[in-house]
Amino acid sequence: MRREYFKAMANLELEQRLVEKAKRNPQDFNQLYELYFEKIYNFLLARCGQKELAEDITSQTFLNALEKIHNFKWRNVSFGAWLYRIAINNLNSHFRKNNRIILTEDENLNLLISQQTSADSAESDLEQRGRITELYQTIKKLSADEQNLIILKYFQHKSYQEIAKILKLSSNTVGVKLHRSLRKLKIVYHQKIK
Amino acid sequence: MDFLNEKNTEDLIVKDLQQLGQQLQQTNQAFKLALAHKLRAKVLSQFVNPVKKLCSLRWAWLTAPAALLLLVILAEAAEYSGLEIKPYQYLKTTVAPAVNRQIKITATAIIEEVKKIADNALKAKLNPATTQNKSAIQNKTVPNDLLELTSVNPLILFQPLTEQQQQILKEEIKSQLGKNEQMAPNLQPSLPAQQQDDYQYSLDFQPTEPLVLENDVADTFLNEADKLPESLPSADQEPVVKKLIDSPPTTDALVPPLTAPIKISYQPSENIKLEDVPPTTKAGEAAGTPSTIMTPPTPPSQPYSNINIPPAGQKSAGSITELGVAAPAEQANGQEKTECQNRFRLILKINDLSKIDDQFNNRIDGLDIEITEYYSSSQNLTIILTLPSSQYYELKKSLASLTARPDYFEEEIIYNEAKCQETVVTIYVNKRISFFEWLISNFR
Repeated sequence: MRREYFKAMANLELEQRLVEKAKRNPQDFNQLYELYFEKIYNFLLARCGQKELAEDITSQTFLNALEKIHNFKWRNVSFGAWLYRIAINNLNSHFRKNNRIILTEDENLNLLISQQTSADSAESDLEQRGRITELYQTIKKLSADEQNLIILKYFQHKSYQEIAKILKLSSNTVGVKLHRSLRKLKIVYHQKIK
Repeated sequence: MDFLNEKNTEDLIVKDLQQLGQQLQQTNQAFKLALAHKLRAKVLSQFVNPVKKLCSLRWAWLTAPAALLLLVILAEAAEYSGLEIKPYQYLKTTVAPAVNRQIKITATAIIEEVKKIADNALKAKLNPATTQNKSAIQNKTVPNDLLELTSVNPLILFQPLTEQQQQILKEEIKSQLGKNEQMAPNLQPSLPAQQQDDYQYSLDFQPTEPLVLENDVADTFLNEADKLPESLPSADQEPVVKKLIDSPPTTDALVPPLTAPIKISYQPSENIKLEDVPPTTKAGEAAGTPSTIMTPPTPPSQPYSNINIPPAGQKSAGSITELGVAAPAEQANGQEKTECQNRFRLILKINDLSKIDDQFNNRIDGLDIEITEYYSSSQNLTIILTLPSSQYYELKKSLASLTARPDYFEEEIIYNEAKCQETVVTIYVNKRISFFEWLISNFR
């Protein structure tokens, strides 16, 4: 536990140095990009379920970050949390503008999951594939905040503190909300299976 | 059993969620590279060198001078038609010449510097030995004798003496006089006849203030000369005393006009003032030898026959005499007769009298100076007092050295007859309190 804490602190210090460097010379932003590209892209992919849209929002997020990095002030909140917030805002504004397109995302998601499961031969039984697809469809029926909580916790493996900083909530609130979201997911999921 | 089922389904969901997360972890290298490239391009386009950015604003470089020119044309046109644009006039009459002047000064300074550097470089090229000499001078390799000679500054002799020095000098002169009195019949004039005439003066001349200046300075010079005989001219050359007298007076005490020939005579009596002793020794004379040269006394029937007082130098009306400048031509009238005293009317110009009026009213009664009139208006305070020239010049001299000195004086001679003058002196006072403090403390 203590080792993890120190590791996190070291990461924070490193991140702070990288941010300062990028502020001085924007060409050093590349290091931050390398550090966070995968996480942001996967988060957005899981959140929207469309590869193209995830790419668009990711590129928009990093461009915004590059433009506004001079405004970023280090307040013991990681740069990653700031990036996640930008990504979530961009995605929300996109959904607000184009809410009709969301309907088509299921197909894409099924395609994505099927690509992954077929590649992994050990897990390629139909039952599990169907269950996972159902689970993902259930997640998509939750609210945006609940989706964010579940994706950040179970897909991105973030701690309560990290989630709290990304979503601007307290750690307790995150715990409570996550518990409620999971229960809701279970209920909907059971209903769907039955 | 339900609980167990519930627990199992929850675990199963969590497990499935984690698996789903793993399946959704994708690496999109092509997109990553493309985005990195896009970001780099953005960085390069966004953060351009500000100088380049400024230079790239061609429209600004073209339009700004054109707009300025147009504005100037419009302003000139308006001025021509009779319309006054004050900011433009200010810019035109004040700012532009000042900037021009500054540019000229800077340019000339730069040109001079460049010339100097170029000359030095040329000299160094042509004669490399000079640079060596320079360094030798810097290292103080100049012979000591030469240094001593060059360091003798004759100007230092004209500096006013301190009281202690004056006292020593007086005593020395007294002792010399004592000796001379005994030796008087045997003494022969050693100066040429012309020079003797120049330095004779009658004992009837009695200045109102003690004479300290040039004669004493001359004697100081003699003392100095005793110490440094090599650096001073020999007896055959022009006398040092003449040099001193020819030079302008440095202090404001009463001194007979130096431009006029004044006959000096020595009359041994007990009433002799030490200050009146003429400088008679020559620079080349050795210390210890009797140095005072005396001439036979002038017959008392013609006490003023040899005194030629030049006409009083009248200043033009309203002329401004700045403080610190040497005494004006009226100083020549310092030799006042006892029956005639020059009259100075002091007008003090100050902005606000309200603060000092009471204070001054309370204290003015205690002043020793003769105040014939005293009245004040809202803008100035006029004190009409009769001051002898010496006192006035002393006042003026003191004012010049005062920290709270007035800005300047205006002297206007309004009456000049039979060597008696009436002068209106307007003193512009800024730091009034300290000025009045000074005035009161000096004339109490």
